Amino acid sequence: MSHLPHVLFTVFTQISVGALLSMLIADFLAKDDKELNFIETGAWVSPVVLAIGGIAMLSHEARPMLAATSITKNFPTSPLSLEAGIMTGFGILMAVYFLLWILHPDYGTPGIRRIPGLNALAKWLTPLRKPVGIIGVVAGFIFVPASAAVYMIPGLPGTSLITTPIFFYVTTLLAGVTAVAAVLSVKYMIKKESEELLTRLLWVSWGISLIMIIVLILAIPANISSLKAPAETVAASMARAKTLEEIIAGEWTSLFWARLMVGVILPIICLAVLPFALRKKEITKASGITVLLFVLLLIGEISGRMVLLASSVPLGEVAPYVLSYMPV
Amino acid sequence: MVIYKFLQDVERCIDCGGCFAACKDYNGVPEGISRIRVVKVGEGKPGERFVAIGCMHCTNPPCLRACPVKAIFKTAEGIVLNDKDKCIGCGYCGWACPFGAPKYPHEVPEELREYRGIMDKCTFCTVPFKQEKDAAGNLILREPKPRCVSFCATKARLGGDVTEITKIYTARRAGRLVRTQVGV
Repeated sequence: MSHLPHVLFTVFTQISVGALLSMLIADFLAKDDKELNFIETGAWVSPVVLAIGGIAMLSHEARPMLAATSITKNFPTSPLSLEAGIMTGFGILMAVYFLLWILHPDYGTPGIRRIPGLNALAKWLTPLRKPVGIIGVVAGFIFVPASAAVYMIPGLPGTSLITTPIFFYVTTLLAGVTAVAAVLSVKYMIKKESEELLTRLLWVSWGISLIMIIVLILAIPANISSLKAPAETVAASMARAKTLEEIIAGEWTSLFWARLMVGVILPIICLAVLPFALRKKEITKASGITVLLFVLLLIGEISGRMVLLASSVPLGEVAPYVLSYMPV
Repeated sequence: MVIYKFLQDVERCIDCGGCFAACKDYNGVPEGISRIRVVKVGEGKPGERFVAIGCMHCTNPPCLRACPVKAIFKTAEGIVLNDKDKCIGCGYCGWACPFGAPKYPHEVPEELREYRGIMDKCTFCTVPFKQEKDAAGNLILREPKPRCVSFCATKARLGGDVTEITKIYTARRAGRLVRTQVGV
């Protein structure tokens, strides 16, 4: 399970980007302080999942503290440095957006919003919250392909495909957007307030999820086909063939099919049922479906990422065998 | 300017493991990892070959470009080295390398604990597993005389000045070609 830190890092950081987008949408949908107070809980999702992803990644490094301070040193040529650098930018913007939410004296987090001085500053800076959120989402949407670029190097032919950033964006918009909707659904089930706002948010979340599920349904076979297609070199073709073998008839086959069931089929059923509950104004039921949808998508995306990253056979493992093709 | 490279004469390698043993012994490479491995090509079939694979000290090393902390560098003689004090053990160079040369030891003796998970690879025998630095913080380099080359019983492993080893290999190939043509 040496790939688990990469899996958790990529999935959770992408959920963080999607959660920020979802929170920003909710921010625009909210009409008054009562509704803003209701959605404030959602502001916690993005930083919490980003922290989980960051910790998962650093725990895998041999020297976590050195990694935290020096990983952006090779910005011009290392995709890993670039990813970490852009993630830092996204993290800073997201943190500012988050602080402007939780410190707001009128609808911030109880306890935190009473910090004198900071709450007044947060209120004074409130007009900047949405612009900061928008820039943060843009940074997040740049971070996602930068993160995919880490796995799109010649040494990893199995993930050096256009489907890799597509999968990453799917995680962002599918699990990320649904995460905030699920958290607010839980809050609604407990407090039974801001029904109208939640309904609007669940419709938006449903629409984005539906589009992303369709993209995912198209991307999975596209990924399989890409692995079958010949690559630039014999070695890369062999690495892709071995990767495909790992997915369809190897160590990761069970997880691949489990992911299709949990991360695609069952969410489709949830997405098919959700509009009926929303139209009938059965918001408690719709909230429950949304929570279930998020859990399924989270498991599905983690499983899918595990299959994607762990099945990828590095060029270094197959290159020696390619020597048999070379004339002696 | 001398540029150091390795060259493998696959016609001569007999998979004796001498290169592997000599490298481990001279460089103090702990159990569980190695800087060189012998790959069997077409095992058990006519024309079976053995190829010793390690760091090829690439002209444009992908590991050097991939390293996020600039721990990997190249000397003026073309030897690709890793400063273990800077390495964070992210493993990215291992993905970037087309030869699978970088290794990450996870089971190391107590005295080498600081190198657990830190990348190690062939240094042309200039830096042992436990690296040392001078007062200025520069790596102390030994003479680039790879033990895998000097211990190779059949002289299949060539290493040194790229001009010289290319001449040797070209002459061998020419000799083989002549022998093939005259049917010897």
